[in-house]
Amino acid sequence: MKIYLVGGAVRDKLLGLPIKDRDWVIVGARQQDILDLGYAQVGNDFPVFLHPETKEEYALARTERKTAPGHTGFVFDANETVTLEQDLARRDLTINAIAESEEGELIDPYNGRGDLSARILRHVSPAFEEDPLRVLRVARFAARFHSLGFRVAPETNEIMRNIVHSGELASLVSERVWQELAKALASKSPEAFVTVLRDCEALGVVLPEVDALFGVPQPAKFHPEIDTGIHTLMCLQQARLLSDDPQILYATLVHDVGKGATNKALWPSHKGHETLGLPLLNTLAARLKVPNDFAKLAALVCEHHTKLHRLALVDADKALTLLEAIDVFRRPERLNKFLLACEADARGRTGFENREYPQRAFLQSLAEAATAIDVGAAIKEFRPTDIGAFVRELRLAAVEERLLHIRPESYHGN
Amino acid sequence: MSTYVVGDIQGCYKGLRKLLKHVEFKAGADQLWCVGDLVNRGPRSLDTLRFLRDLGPSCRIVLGNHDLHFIAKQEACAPRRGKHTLQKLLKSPDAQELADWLRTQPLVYFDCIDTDAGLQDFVMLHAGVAPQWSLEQTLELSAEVEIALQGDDYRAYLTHMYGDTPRRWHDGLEGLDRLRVITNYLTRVRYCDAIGNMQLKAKEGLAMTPHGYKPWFMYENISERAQILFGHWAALEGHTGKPRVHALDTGFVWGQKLTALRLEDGKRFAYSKT
Repeated sequence: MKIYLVGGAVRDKLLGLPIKDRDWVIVGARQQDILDLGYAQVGNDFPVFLHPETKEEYALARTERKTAPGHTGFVFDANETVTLEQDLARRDLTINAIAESEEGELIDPYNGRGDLSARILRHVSPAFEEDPLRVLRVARFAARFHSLGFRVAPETNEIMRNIVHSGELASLVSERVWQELAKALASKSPEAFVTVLRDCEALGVVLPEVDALFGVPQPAKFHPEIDTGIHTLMCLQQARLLSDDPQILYATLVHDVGKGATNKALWPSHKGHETLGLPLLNTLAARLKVPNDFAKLAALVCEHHTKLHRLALVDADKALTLLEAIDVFRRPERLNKFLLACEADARGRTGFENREYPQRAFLQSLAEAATAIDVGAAIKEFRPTDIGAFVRELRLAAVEERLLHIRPESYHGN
Repeated sequence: MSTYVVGDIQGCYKGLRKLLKHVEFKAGADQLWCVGDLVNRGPRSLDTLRFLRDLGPSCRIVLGNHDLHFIAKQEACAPRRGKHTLQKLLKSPDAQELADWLRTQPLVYFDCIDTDAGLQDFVMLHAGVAPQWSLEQTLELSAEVEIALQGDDYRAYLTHMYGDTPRRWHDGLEGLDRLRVITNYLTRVRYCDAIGNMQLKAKEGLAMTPHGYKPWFMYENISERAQILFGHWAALEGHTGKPRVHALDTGFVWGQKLTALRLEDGKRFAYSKT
């Protein structure tokens, strides 16, 4: 019986990155041998065990055979004759298919080290094509390692495209797709996730609302980058510099989907794209089972981002209406998320990357004024008959008062 | 015998005399009530004060923000800011005497008049009141300021009456903050919100009401008890929409007209240069 460190731990070690989880493979053992050593089995039909002390994952070397379409249509064979090379062969990318023995020797039958130094994401074997989830996983690795220079190998892109064309990608359950998307968004380069999916034509299957933005022009005066898809990628980059909160990144990704639905005859104008985007977001949220918090923030940013840019909020009533829509009184944390997504949008434009965004402090200041009122005490003191109207009036007055004291700087909107 | 209530005179001595002539005002027989802001902005503050003081018991006044500012200037308690046309008044030999006379005047005046419609209560003040105040409380709070203004430590009051905060009245206010808030309601307020936060920057008329605010008289609770007479707010052009709340500043100093309301029959008289 031999034990090897495999997968991400070996890869990250070779890249000089911190190691998060260690996965181990056991070769030449039977299930009972492992249980006898005190390991606890995880699940029933899957040969994975937890180490009695470290609680790290140990798996019996296994082979896989495709039996049905989709991500789960596999049977495993994990008998003691399965070799390390066989086990590594069923893995997705060569950089993830390197093993390290207990003596520190590297076993690298698919030249993962070569691809690590060449910064290439390359599939291990044609069996790659059997699991459609791998399309999303490769895109997610791209999002994670893009900044280190990693790119998808052309032949791997080709095989990903085959998966898309086979229709298998569409068979993935929405929870899995969402899970991959959410992880990718919080990765270092979320824009690379979108680019890689687009290169293999998967974007139109997974996120058709975003795919539709590529090739849609915007006014060059406000958007020197012109293409709405490019703008979206730039926004994601800027958003990621501001935050790693996947809610903010999701809202950024989809803030302009309405521009894919505007009248072509009126291009490059996208008047009304804010409201045109809302039904598209609903469809998207229902399809991917997007969690409510994500969907709500995305809808808010979609509907209101241009109002904040244009500072159409120097009117206290409009400003308060927006603060109410954000529900800043019950969900104060949502305001900052909204503001960061709007800021990412303003900066996600060629030449605007380092531009100040005074709108953020502006709306924050108004929100602070509106939330500072001791509503409970005021109601006690005045016992108004219509509490809702009374409270709104107080908040309106507080916002108005603050507006008199701040003069927002001039700014180019979009 | 008639009672004439005139709006903000603001040193417009000639206009005042013309108006009084027009209504055939007879000192000794008739009464002249002034809603405050007797001085400043206009050309003849000195003559105005001398004339009103010499009317003796025929004249009742309440102090406005400009009157308080003159007293503070005379006592060297005012901040150095803003334009004013008080130079001649301040340099006159009887400036101190006039300032001392003003210092004994109230911020709120209350009286009962035998009108054509029977006995009627009137309360006169320069600007407005807080939403919570009753008539009695208004008179008590006014008295607190008057005691400070007439007491030994009146300079401390004059020095600290300036400022926009605290923004609203509450019963727990103490000391100079309390006096400043009372003074701001009685001599400066135009707009406030539902709990009485004063909006002291807006001066425009009702068409420009700032969001969330209303004119103070939309919240007041004393006109059921006594009709209110006030000045200070020229942009209202004499209208409040409330029959028992009378706006009397009609902007004579801004080229509009000087208004007098005869309390006995409710008749309004006006004088303008044109």
